Amino acid sequence: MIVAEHAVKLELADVSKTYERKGQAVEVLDRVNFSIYEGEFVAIVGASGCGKTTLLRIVDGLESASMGAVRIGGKLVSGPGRDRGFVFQQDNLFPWRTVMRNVTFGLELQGVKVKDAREAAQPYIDLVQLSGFENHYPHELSGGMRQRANLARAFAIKPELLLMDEPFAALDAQTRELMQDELLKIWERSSKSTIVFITHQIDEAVFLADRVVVLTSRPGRIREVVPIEFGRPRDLSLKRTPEFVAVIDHIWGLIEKEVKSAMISREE
Amino acid sequence: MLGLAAWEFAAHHTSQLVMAPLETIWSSFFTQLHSGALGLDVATTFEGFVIGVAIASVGGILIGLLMATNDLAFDLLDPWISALRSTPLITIAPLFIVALGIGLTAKVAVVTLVAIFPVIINTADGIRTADRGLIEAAYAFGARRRDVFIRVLIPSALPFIISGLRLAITFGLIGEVVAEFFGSRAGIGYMVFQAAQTFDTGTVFLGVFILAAVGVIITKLMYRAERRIAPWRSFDVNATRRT
Ligand SMILES: Nc1ncnc2c1ncn2[C@@H]1O[C@H](COP(=O)(O)OP(=O)(O)OP(=O)(O)O)[C@@H](O)[C@H]1O
Ligand SMILES: [Mg+2]
Repeated sequence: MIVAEHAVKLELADVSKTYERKGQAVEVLDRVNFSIYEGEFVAIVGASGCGKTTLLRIVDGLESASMGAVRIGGKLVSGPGRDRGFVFQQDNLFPWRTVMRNVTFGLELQGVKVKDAREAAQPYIDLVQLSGFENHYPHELSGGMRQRANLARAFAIKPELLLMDEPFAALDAQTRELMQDELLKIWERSSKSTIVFITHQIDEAVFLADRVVVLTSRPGRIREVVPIEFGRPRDLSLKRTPEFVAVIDHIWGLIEKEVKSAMISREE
Repeated sequence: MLGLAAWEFAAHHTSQLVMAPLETIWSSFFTQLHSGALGLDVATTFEGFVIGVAIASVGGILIGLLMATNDLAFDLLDPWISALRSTPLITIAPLFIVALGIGLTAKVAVVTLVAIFPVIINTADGIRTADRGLIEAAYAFGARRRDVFIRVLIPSALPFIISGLRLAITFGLIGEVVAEFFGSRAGIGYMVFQAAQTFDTGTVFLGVFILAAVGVIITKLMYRAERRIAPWRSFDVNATRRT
Protein backbone atom coordinates (compact mmCIF):
# COMPACT_ATOMS: atom_id res chain seq x y z
CA MET A 1 0.00 0.00 0.00
CA ILE A 2 2.74 2.44 -0.93
CA VAL A 3 0.22 4.68 -2.68
CA ALA A 4 -1.95 5.04 0.42
CA GLU A 5 1.08 5.78 2.56
CA HIS A 6 2.01 8.66 0.38
CA ALA A 7 -1.48 10.11 0.08
CA VAL A 8 -1.49 13.63 1.48
CA LYS A 9 -3.70 13.87 4.55
CA LEU A 10 -3.16 17.45 5.57
CA GLU A 11 -2.09 20.26 3.32
CA LEU A 12 -1.17 23.75 4.49
CA ALA A 13 -0.92 26.17 1.59
CA ASP A 14 0.54 29.60 2.36
CA VAL A 15 -1.18 29.76 5.73
CA SER A 16 -0.76 33.16 7.37
CA LYS A 17 -2.37 34.56 10.48
CA THR A 18 -2.49 38.12 11.71
CA TYR A 19 -4.20 39.20 14.90
CA GLU A 20 -5.51 42.68 15.51
CA ARG A 21 -4.55 43.96 18.92
CA LYS A 22 -5.38 47.50 19.96
CA GLY A 23 -5.42 48.54 16.33
CA GLN A 24 -2.03 46.98 15.70
CA ALA A 25 -1.54 43.99 13.46
CA VAL A 26 0.39 41.14 15.10
CA GLU A 27 1.77 38.73 12.55
CA VAL A 28 1.78 35.26 14.06
CA LEU A 29 2.17 32.89 11.14
CA ASP A 30 3.85 33.72 7.87
CA ARG A 31 3.10 31.64 4.77
CA VAL A 32 3.40 28.16 6.21
CA ASN A 33 3.56 25.55 3.46
CA PHE A 34 3.58 21.92 4.42
CA SER A 35 2.03 18.57 3.66
CA ILE A 36 1.56 15.65 5.98
CA TYR A 37 0.98 12.14 4.67
CA GLU A 38 -1.59 9.66 5.82
CA GLY A 39 -0.48 7.70 8.87
CA GLU A 40 2.45 10.01 9.46
CA PHE A 41 3.53 11.31 12.87
CA VAL A 42 4.76 14.89 12.58
CA ALA A 43 6.07 16.94 15.49
CA ILE A 44 6.28 20.72 15.46
CA VAL A 45 8.82 22.50 17.63
CA GLY A 46 9.52 26.19 18.00
CA ALA A 47 10.12 28.96 20.47
CA SER A 48 7.35 29.94 22.86
CA GLY A 49 4.88 32.30 21.23
CA CYS A 50 5.89 31.46 17.68
CA GLY A 51 2.38 30.41 16.72
CA LYS A 52 2.30 26.64 17.25
CA THR A 53 -1.02 26.59 19.06
CA THR A 54 -2.45 29.04 16.54
CA LEU A 55 -1.38 26.78 13.69
CA LEU A 56 -2.99 23.75 15.27
CA ARG A 57 -6.21 25.63 16.00
CA ILE A 58 -6.38 26.69 12.39
CA VAL A 59 -5.94 23.08 11.29
CA ASP A 60 -8.77 22.06 13.58
CA GLY A 61 -10.99 24.85 12.29
CA LEU A 62 -11.31 26.47 15.73
CA GLU A 63 -9.81 29.54 14.14
CA SER A 64 -9.53 30.65 10.54
CA ALA A 65 -6.39 31.61 8.67
CA SER A 66 -6.01 35.22 7.55
CA MET A 67 -4.64 33.97 4.27
CA GLY A 68 -3.97 30.64 2.64
CA ALA A 69 -5.81 27.36 2.80
CA VAL A 70 -5.93 24.23 4.91
CA ARG A 71 -7.08 21.01 3.26
CA ILE A 72 -7.73 17.72 4.96
CA GLY A 73 -8.04 14.79 2.57
CA GLY A 74 -8.31 17.33 -0.23
CA LYS A 75 -11.24 19.19 1.36
CA LEU A 76 -11.02 22.77 2.59
CA VAL A 77 -11.36 23.12 6.35
CA SER A 78 -14.12 25.52 7.37
CA GLY A 79 -14.76 24.50 10.97
CA PRO A 80 -14.17 21.75 13.53
CA GLY A 81 -15.11 18.30 12.37
CA ARG A 82 -15.72 14.88 13.79
CA ASP A 83 -12.87 13.41 11.74
CA ARG A 84 -10.38 15.28 13.93
CA GLY A 85 -9.40 14.80 17.53
CA PHE A 86 -7.76 17.51 19.61
CA VAL A 87 -5.69 16.98 22.74
CA PHE A 88 -5.33 20.31 24.50
CA GLN A 89 -2.43 21.78 26.40
CA GLN A 90 -4.61 21.63 29.54
CA ASP A 91 -6.51 18.38 29.84
CA ASN A 92 -9.94 20.03 29.50
CA LEU A 93 -11.82 17.01 30.80
CA PHE A 94 -15.42 17.71 31.74
CA PRO A 95 -15.40 17.83 35.55
CA TRP A 96 -19.00 16.62 35.78
CA ARG A 97 -18.34 13.50 33.74
CA THR A 98 -16.66 10.37 34.93
CA VAL A 99 -13.64 9.02 33.07
CA MET A 100 -15.90 6.72 31.09
CA ARG A 101 -18.33 9.47 30.14
CA ASN A 102 -15.49 11.78 29.20
CA VAL A 103 -14.07 9.16 26.89
CA THR A 104 -17.46 8.49 25.30
CA PHE A 105 -18.13 12.23 24.79
CA GLY A 106 -17.15 12.34 21.12
CA LEU A 107 -19.03 9.14 20.39
CA GLU A 108 -22.17 10.50 22.06
CA LEU A 109 -22.02 13.51 19.77
CA GLN A 110 -21.89 11.14 16.83
CA GLY A 111 -25.13 9.61 18.06
CA VAL A 112 -23.65 6.30 19.21
CA LYS A 113 -25.88 4.60 21.79
CA VAL A 114 -24.64 4.76 25.39
CA LYS A 115 -24.06 1.03 25.65
CA ASP A 116 -22.21 0.82 22.34
CA ALA A 117 -20.19 3.91 23.18
CA ARG A 118 -19.07 2.30 26.45
CA GLU A 119 -18.07 -0.85 24.68
CA ALA A 120 -16.14 1.13 22.10
CA ALA A 121 -14.45 3.26 24.75
CA GLN A 122 -13.36 0.46 27.06
CA PRO A 123 -10.39 -0.72 24.98
CA TYR A 124 -8.96 2.81 24.97
CA ILE A 125 -9.45 3.13 28.71
CA ASP A 126 -7.60 -0.17 29.11
CA LEU A 127 -4.94 0.99 26.69
CA VAL A 128 -4.16 4.09 28.78
CA GLN A 129 -4.27 1.91 31.89
CA LEU A 130 -7.25 3.51 33.52
CA SER A 131 -9.24 0.30 33.93
CA GLY A 132 -10.85 0.40 37.34
CA PHE A 133 -11.11 4.18 37.22
CA GLU A 134 -14.03 4.35 34.78
CA ASN A 135 -16.35 5.83 37.39
CA HIS A 136 -13.90 8.31 38.86
CA TYR A 137 -14.29 12.03 38.30
CA PRO A 138 -11.34 14.01 36.89
CA HIS A 139 -10.63 15.66 40.24
CA GLU A 140 -10.11 12.23 41.73
CA LEU A 141 -7.26 11.49 39.32
CA SER A 142 -3.60 12.51 39.28
CA GLY A 143 -2.32 14.85 36.57
CA GLY A 144 -0.85 11.95 34.63
CA MET A 145 -4.08 9.97 34.82
CA ARG A 146 -6.07 12.97 33.64
CA GLN A 147 -3.81 13.40 30.67
CA ARG A 148 -4.19 9.68 29.87
CA ALA A 149 -7.98 10.02 30.03
CA ASN A 150 -7.59 12.99 27.72
CA LEU A 151 -5.68 10.79 25.25
CA ALA A 152 -8.30 8.06 25.47
CA ARG A 153 -11.03 10.60 24.76
CA ALA A 154 -9.26 11.71 21.60
CA PHE A 155 -8.41 8.20 20.43
CA ALA A 156 -11.91 6.85 21.11
CA ILE A 157 -13.42 8.75 18.19
CA LYS A 158 -10.86 7.04 15.92
CA PRO A 159 -9.83 10.36 14.41
CA GLU A 160 -8.26 10.33 10.98
CA LEU A 161 -6.24 13.30 12.12
CA LEU A 162 -5.14 13.73 15.71
CA LEU A 163 -3.92 17.16 16.80
CA MET A 164 -1.97 17.35 20.04
CA ASP A 165 -0.87 20.59 21.68
CA GLU A 166 1.90 19.96 24.20
CA PRO A 167 -0.18 17.26 25.85
CA PHE A 168 2.58 16.26 28.27
CA ALA A 169 3.91 19.71 29.14
CA ALA A 170 2.31 19.75 32.56
CA LEU A 171 3.72 16.38 33.60
CA ASP A 172 6.90 15.66 35.53
CA ALA A 173 9.86 14.33 33.55
CA GLN A 174 9.36 10.69 34.53
CA THR A 175 5.64 10.59 33.82
CA ARG A 176 6.27 12.40 30.57
CA GLU A 177 8.69 9.72 29.35
CA LEU A 178 6.24 6.98 30.25
CA MET A 179 3.49 8.82 28.43
CA GLN A 180 5.62 9.21 25.31
CA ASP A 181 6.21 5.48 25.28
CA GLU A 182 2.52 4.91 25.96
CA LEU A 183 1.46 7.22 23.15
CA LEU A 184 3.57 5.38 20.57
CA LYS A 185 2.14 2.06 21.71
CA ILE A 186 -1.44 3.29 21.56
CA TRP A 187 -0.83 4.82 18.16
CA GLU A 188 0.77 1.69 16.78
CA ARG A 189 -1.95 -0.55 18.19
CA SER A 190 -4.83 1.66 17.07
CA SER A 191 -5.35 2.29 13.40
CA LYS A 192 -2.40 4.68 13.12
CA SER A 193 -4.10 8.02 12.72
CA THR A 194 -2.16 10.88 11.23
CA ILE A 195 -0.76 12.87 14.15
CA VAL A 196 0.40 16.45 14.47
CA PHE A 197 2.15 16.86 17.80
CA ILE A 198 3.34 20.16 19.23
CA THR A 199 6.03 20.25 21.87
CA HIS A 200 8.76 22.35 23.46
CA GLN A 201 10.90 19.30 24.18
CA ILE A 202 13.16 18.50 21.26
CA ASP A 203 13.85 14.99 22.52
CA GLU A 204 10.12 14.34 22.76
CA ALA A 205 9.66 15.42 19.15
CA VAL A 206 12.53 13.29 17.88
CA PHE A 207 11.49 10.24 19.88
CA LEU A 208 7.89 10.33 18.64
CA ALA A 209 7.90 11.67 15.13
CA ASP A 210 8.62 10.62 11.56
CA ARG A 211 9.43 14.22 10.75
CA VAL A 212 10.12 17.23 12.94
CA VAL A 213 9.08 20.66 11.69
CA VAL A 214 11.16 23.46 13.16
CA LEU A 215 9.45 26.87 13.21
CA THR A 216 11.17 30.22 13.45
CA SER A 217 10.20 32.60 16.22
CA ARG A 218 7.28 34.92 15.61
CA PRO A 219 6.06 35.25 12.98
CA GLY A 220 6.26 31.48 12.65
CA ARG A 221 7.75 30.25 9.40
CA ILE A 222 9.10 26.83 8.60
CA ARG A 223 12.79 26.86 9.35
CA GLU A 224 13.52 23.28 8.43
CA VAL A 225 11.87 19.89 8.23
CA VAL A 226 14.01 17.19 9.78
CA PRO A 227 13.26 13.57 8.82
CA ILE A 228 13.71 11.14 11.70
CA GLU A 229 14.94 7.83 10.37
CA PHE A 230 14.79 5.62 13.48
CA GLY A 231 12.81 2.42 12.96
CA ARG A 232 9.65 1.47 14.82
CA PRO A 233 8.60 0.25 17.30
CA ARG A 234 10.84 2.58 19.28
CA ASP A 235 11.52 2.29 22.96
CA LEU A 236 12.89 4.75 25.46
CA SER A 237 16.42 3.34 25.33
CA LEU A 238 16.64 4.99 21.89
CA LYS A 239 17.05 8.30 23.69
CA ARG A 240 20.41 7.19 25.08
CA THR A 241 21.96 6.36 21.67
CA PRO A 242 24.56 8.67 20.07
CA GLU A 243 22.55 8.85 16.85
CA PHE A 244 19.57 10.19 18.77
CA VAL A 245 21.70 12.75 20.55
CA ALA A 246 23.17 13.87 17.23
CA VAL A 247 19.71 14.60 15.83
CA ILE A 248 18.82 16.54 18.96
CA ASP A 249 21.99 18.61 18.64
CA HIS A 250 21.18 19.41 15.04
CA ILE A 251 17.67 20.60 15.85
CA TRP A 252 18.81 22.46 18.93
CA GLY A 253 21.32 24.30 16.74
CA LEU A 254 18.47 25.33 14.46
CA ILE A 255 16.25 26.78 17.12
CA GLU A 256 18.84 28.04 19.58
CA LYS A 257 19.01 31.37 17.84
CA GLU A 258 15.21 31.52 17.61
CA VAL A 259 14.69 30.76 21.27
CA LYS A 260 17.26 33.34 22.25
CA SER A 261 15.72 36.04 20.11
CA ALA A 262 12.29 35.14 21.46
CA MET A 263 13.59 35.53 25.01
CA ILE A 264 15.12 38.89 24.22
CA SER A 265 11.93 40.17 22.61
CA ARG A 266 9.98 39.06 25.66
CA GLU A 267 12.24 40.97 28.01
CA GLU A 268 11.67 44.18 26.09
CA MET B 1 -26.85 22.54 74.77
CA LEU B 2 -24.75 25.46 75.93
CA GLY B 3 -26.88 27.67 73.73
CA LEU B 4 -30.07 26.50 75.42
CA ALA B 5 -28.59 27.07 78.87
CA ALA B 6 -27.54 30.58 77.89
CA TRP B 7 -31.04 31.16 76.53
CA GLU B 8 -32.61 30.13 79.82
CA PHE B 9 -30.24 32.30 81.79
CA ALA B 10 -30.96 35.32 79.60
CA ALA B 11 -34.71 34.70 79.65
CA HIS B 12 -34.91 34.63 83.42
CA HIS B 13 -32.80 37.74 83.84
CA THR B 14 -34.45 40.04 81.33
CA SER B 15 -37.94 41.30 80.79
CA GLN B 16 -40.55 38.73 79.82
CA LEU B 17 -41.44 41.08 76.99
CA VAL B 18 -38.06 40.60 75.32
CA MET B 19 -37.17 37.01 76.07
CA ALA B 20 -39.29 34.01 76.89
CA PRO B 21 -38.07 31.03 78.88
CA LEU B 22 -38.21 27.71 77.08
CA GLU B 23 -41.17 26.51 79.20
CA THR B 24 -43.29 29.38 77.95
CA ILE B 25 -42.40 28.67 74.34
CA TRP B 26 -43.09 25.00 74.91
CA SER B 27 -46.50 25.68 76.42
CA SER B 28 -47.48 28.03 73.59
CA PHE B 29 -46.54 25.22 71.26
CA PHE B 30 -49.09 22.91 72.92
CA THR B 31 -51.83 25.50 73.14
CA GLN B 32 -51.44 26.42 69.51
CA LEU B 33 -51.20 22.80 68.47
CA HIS B 34 -54.36 21.73 70.30
CA SER B 35 -56.44 24.65 69.06
CA GLY B 36 -55.53 23.63 65.50
CA ALA B 37 -54.19 27.14 64.87
CA LEU B 38 -50.61 25.96 64.53
CA GLY B 39 -51.47 23.38 61.89
CA LEU B 40 -53.36 25.98 59.87
CA ASP B 41 -50.57 28.54 60.22
CA VAL B 42 -47.89 26.12 59.10
CA ALA B 43 -49.98 24.93 56.16
CA THR B 44 -50.76 28.48 55.07
CA THR B 45 -47.14 29.57 55.20
CA PHE B 46 -46.05 26.42 53.42
CA GLU B 47 -48.53 26.97 50.61
CA GLY B 48 -47.54 30.54 49.79
CA PHE B 49 -43.86 29.81 50.19
CA VAL B 50 -43.79 26.67 48.02
CA ILE B 51 -45.84 28.13 45.18
CA GLY B 52 -43.87 31.38 45.18
CA VAL B 53 -40.46 29.68 45.29
CA ALA B 54 -41.51 27.22 42.59
CA ILE B 55 -42.53 30.05 40.27
CA ALA B 56 -39.34 31.96 41.09
CA SER B 57 -37.20 28.88 40.42
CA VAL B 58 -38.66 27.94 37.09
CA GLY B 59 -39.07 31.53 35.95
CA GLY B 60 -35.65 32.57 37.23
CA ILE B 61 -33.86 29.71 35.50
CA LEU B 62 -35.64 30.40 32.20
CA ILE B 63 -34.97 34.14 32.34
CA GLY B 64 -31.36 33.51 33.37
CA LEU B 65 -30.81 31.11 30.48
CA LEU B 66 -32.41 33.55 28.07
CA MET B 67 -30.24 36.42 29.28
CA ALA B 68 -27.05 34.41 29.07
CA THR B 69 -27.68 33.14 25.56
CA ASN B 70 -29.48 36.02 23.87
CA ASP B 71 -27.80 39.41 23.64
CA LEU B 72 -31.03 41.27 22.99
CA ALA B 73 -32.68 39.76 26.06
CA PHE B 74 -29.59 40.63 28.07
CA ASP B 75 -29.57 44.25 26.95
CA LEU B 76 -33.27 44.60 27.72
CA LEU B 77 -33.28 42.90 31.10
CA ASP B 78 -29.89 43.60 32.61
CA PRO B 79 -30.51 47.26 33.61
CA TRP B 80 -33.64 46.17 35.46
CA ILE B 81 -31.98 43.26 37.16
CA SER B 82 -29.00 45.38 38.20
CA ALA B 83 -31.26 48.06 39.60
CA LEU B 84 -33.58 45.69 41.41
CA ARG B 85 -31.04 43.15 42.72
CA SER B 86 -29.74 45.51 45.39
CA THR B 87 -33.08 47.07 46.26
CA PRO B 88 -34.64 45.66 49.42
CA LEU B 89 -37.75 44.58 47.53
CA ILE B 90 -39.37 43.37 50.70
CA THR B 91 -40.20 47.02 51.44
CA ILE B 92 -42.74 47.10 48.65
CA ALA B 93 -44.58 44.06 49.99
CA PRO B 94 -47.38 46.26 51.40
CA LEU B 95 -48.00 47.66 47.91
CA PHE B 96 -48.67 44.17 46.66
CA ILE B 97 -51.19 43.57 49.37
CA VAL B 98 -52.91 46.84 48.52
CA ALA B 99 -52.91 45.96 44.84
CA LEU B 100 -53.81 42.29 45.05
CA GLY B 101 -55.75 42.15 48.29
CA ILE B 102 -55.28 39.92 51.30
CA GLY B 103 -54.70 36.32 50.36
CA LEU B 104 -52.62 33.81 48.51
CA THR B 105 -52.08 35.79 45.29
CA ALA B 106 -50.42 38.75 46.98
CA LYS B 107 -48.20 36.50 49.10
CA VAL B 108 -47.11 34.42 46.14
CA ALA B 109 -46.32 37.61 44.25
CA VAL B 110 -44.15 38.90 47.10
CA VAL B 111 -42.33 35.57 47.50
CA THR B 112 -41.75 35.29 43.76
CA LEU B 113 -40.45 38.83 43.54
CA VAL B 114 -37.87 38.50 46.29
CA ALA B 115 -36.85 34.95 45.35
CA ILE B 116 -36.47 35.27 41.60
CA PHE B 117 -33.45 37.59 41.42
CA PRO B 118 -30.82 35.32 42.92
CA VAL B 119 -31.99 32.55 40.57
CA ILE B 120 -31.80 34.76 37.47
CA ILE B 121 -28.43 36.21 38.40
CA ASN B 122 -26.83 32.90 39.37
CA THR B 123 -28.14 31.08 36.32
CA ALA B 124 -26.88 33.77 33.97
CA ASP B 125 -23.52 34.00 35.74
CA GLY B 126 -23.15 30.22 35.73
CA ILE B 127 -23.62 30.11 31.98
CA ARG B 128 -21.45 33.11 31.29
CA THR B 129 -18.53 31.93 33.43
CA ALA B 130 -18.41 28.47 31.87
CA ASP B 131 -14.81 27.46 31.16
CA ARG B 132 -13.79 28.54 27.63
CA GLY B 133 -11.50 25.55 27.37
CA LEU B 134 -14.35 23.12 27.96
CA ILE B 135 -16.56 24.86 25.41
CA GLU B 136 -13.74 24.69 22.91
CA ALA B 137 -13.09 21.05 23.69
CA ALA B 138 -16.73 20.29 22.94
CA TYR B 139 -16.54 22.12 19.61
CA ALA B 140 -13.31 20.33 18.78
CA PHE B 141 -15.12 17.03 19.22
CA GLY B 142 -17.74 18.13 16.72
CA ALA B 143 -20.38 19.60 19.03
CA ARG B 144 -22.92 22.01 17.61
CA ARG B 145 -24.24 25.03 19.47
CA ARG B 146 -27.10 23.01 20.89
CA ASP B 147 -24.78 20.25 22.13
CA VAL B 148 -22.56 22.82 23.80
CA PHE B 149 -25.57 24.35 25.52
CA ILE B 150 -26.87 21.05 26.84
CA ARG B 151 -23.61 19.25 27.52
CA VAL B 152 -21.33 22.07 28.66
CA LEU B 153 -23.16 25.27 29.59
CA ILE B 154 -25.97 23.70 31.61
CA PRO B 155 -23.73 21.36 33.64
CA SER B 156 -21.29 24.26 34.26
CA ALA B 157 -24.12 26.41 35.51
CA LEU B 158 -25.74 23.72 37.63
CA PRO B 159 -23.84 24.40 40.87
CA PHE B 160 -24.53 28.13 40.46
CA ILE B 161 -28.20 27.44 39.85
CA ILE B 162 -28.35 25.34 43.00
CA SER B 163 -26.83 28.15 45.08
CA GLY B 164 -29.35 30.49 43.48
CA LEU B 165 -32.16 28.18 44.55
CA ARG B 166 -30.75 28.04 48.05
CA LEU B 167 -30.88 31.84 48.25
CA ALA B 168 -34.36 31.82 46.70
CA ILE B 169 -35.58 29.55 49.48
CA THR B 170 -34.13 31.77 52.19
CA PHE B 171 -35.43 35.00 50.65
CA GLY B 172 -38.74 33.35 49.80
CA LEU B 173 -39.34 32.34 53.41
CA ILE B 174 -38.62 35.87 54.57
CA GLY B 175 -40.90 37.23 51.86
CA GLU B 176 -43.70 34.92 52.89
CA VAL B 177 -43.49 35.83 56.55
CA VAL B 178 -43.31 39.55 55.90
CA ALA B 179 -46.26 39.35 53.51
CA GLU B 180 -48.20 37.63 56.24
CA PHE B 181 -47.48 40.47 58.67
CA PHE B 182 -49.56 42.79 56.54
CA GLY B 183 -51.80 40.75 54.39
CA SER B 184 -52.93 37.44 55.81
CA ARG B 185 -55.36 35.92 58.25
CA ALA B 186 -53.19 32.89 58.95
CA GLY B 187 -49.62 31.71 58.67
CA ILE B 188 -46.58 31.78 60.88
CA GLY B 189 -45.90 35.42 60.07
CA TYR B 190 -49.45 36.28 61.03
CA MET B 191 -49.12 34.25 64.23
CA VAL B 192 -45.91 36.06 65.20
CA PHE B 193 -47.32 39.46 64.34
CA GLN B 194 -50.52 38.89 66.33
CA ALA B 195 -48.59 37.52 69.30
CA ALA B 196 -46.26 40.50 69.27
CA GLN B 197 -49.24 42.87 69.42
CA THR B 198 -50.54 41.10 72.50
CA PHE B 199 -47.10 40.77 74.12
CA ASP B 200 -47.29 36.99 73.89
CA THR B 201 -43.52 36.54 73.72
CA GLY B 202 -43.75 32.75 73.98
CA THR B 203 -45.67 32.50 70.74
CA VAL B 204 -43.41 35.00 69.03
CA PHE B 205 -40.43 32.80 69.76
CA LEU B 206 -42.34 29.68 68.84
CA GLY B 207 -42.76 31.19 65.36
CA VAL B 208 -39.13 32.22 65.20
CA PHE B 209 -38.00 28.75 66.23
CA ILE B 210 -40.18 27.08 63.64
CA LEU B 211 -38.84 29.35 60.92
CA ALA B 212 -35.25 28.79 62.04
CA ALA B 213 -35.77 25.03 62.07
CA VAL B 214 -37.33 25.09 58.60
CA GLY B 215 -34.42 27.18 57.35
CA VAL B 216 -31.83 24.79 58.75
CA ILE B 217 -33.60 21.70 57.43
CA ILE B 218 -34.06 23.12 53.94
CA THR B 219 -30.45 24.25 53.73
CA LYS B 220 -29.26 20.80 54.83
CA LEU B 221 -31.48 19.16 52.22
CA MET B 222 -30.23 21.52 49.54
CA TYR B 223 -26.61 20.69 50.34
CA ARG B 224 -27.45 17.03 50.15
CA ALA B 225 -29.25 17.54 46.83
CA GLU B 226 -26.27 19.48 45.55
CA ARG B 227 -23.94 16.64 46.41
CA ARG B 228 -26.18 14.22 44.53
CA ILE B 229 -26.80 16.42 41.51
CA ALA B 230 -23.27 17.82 41.28
CA PRO B 231 -20.95 15.25 42.88
CA TRP B 232 -17.89 16.73 41.16
CA ARG B 233 -18.39 19.84 43.25
CA SER B 234 -17.79 18.09 46.55
CA PHE B 235 -14.11 18.61 45.92
CA ASP B 236 -14.58 22.35 45.50
CA VAL B 237 -16.46 22.50 48.76
CA ASN B 238 -13.64 20.70 50.54
CA ALA B 239 -11.10 22.94 48.91
CA THR B 240 -12.80 26.08 50.16
CA ARG B 241 -13.29 24.61 53.59
CA ARG B 242 -9.63 23.83 53.91
CA THR B 243 -8.61 27.41 53.27
N1 LIG C 1 -6.63 35.73 20.27
C1 LIG C 1 -5.43 36.33 20.12
N2 LIG C 1 -5.37 37.67 19.94
C2 LIG C 1 -4.19 38.29 19.80
N3 LIG C 1 -3.00 37.68 19.81
C3 LIG C 1 -3.00 36.36 19.98
C4 LIG C 1 -4.20 35.61 20.16
N4 LIG C 1 -3.89 34.30 20.32
C5 LIG C 1 -2.54 34.25 20.26
N5 LIG C 1 -2.00 35.47 20.05
C6 LIG C 1 -0.57 35.78 19.90
O1 LIG C 1 -0.07 34.93 18.91
C7 LIG C 1 1.23 34.50 19.23
C8 LIG C 1 1.33 32.99 19.09
O2 LIG C 1 0.52 32.37 20.07
P1 LIG C 1 0.47 30.79 20.21
O3 LIG C 1 -0.42 30.49 21.34
O4 LIG C 1 0.13 30.21 18.90
O5 LIG C 1 1.97 30.48 20.57
P2 LIG C 1 2.66 29.06 20.88
O6 LIG C 1 3.71 28.87 19.87
O7 LIG C 1 1.64 28.01 21.02
O8 LIG C 1 3.34 29.38 22.26
P3 LIG C 1 3.60 28.38 23.51
O9 LIG C 1 4.70 27.50 23.08
O10 LIG C 1 4.03 29.32 24.59
O11 LIG C 1 2.33 27.66 23.80
C9 LIG C 1 1.52 34.99 20.63
O12 LIG C 1 2.42 36.08 20.52
C10 LIG C 1 0.20 35.47 21.15
O13 LIG C 1 0.37 36.60 21.95
MG1 LIG D 1 0.88 26.89 22.70
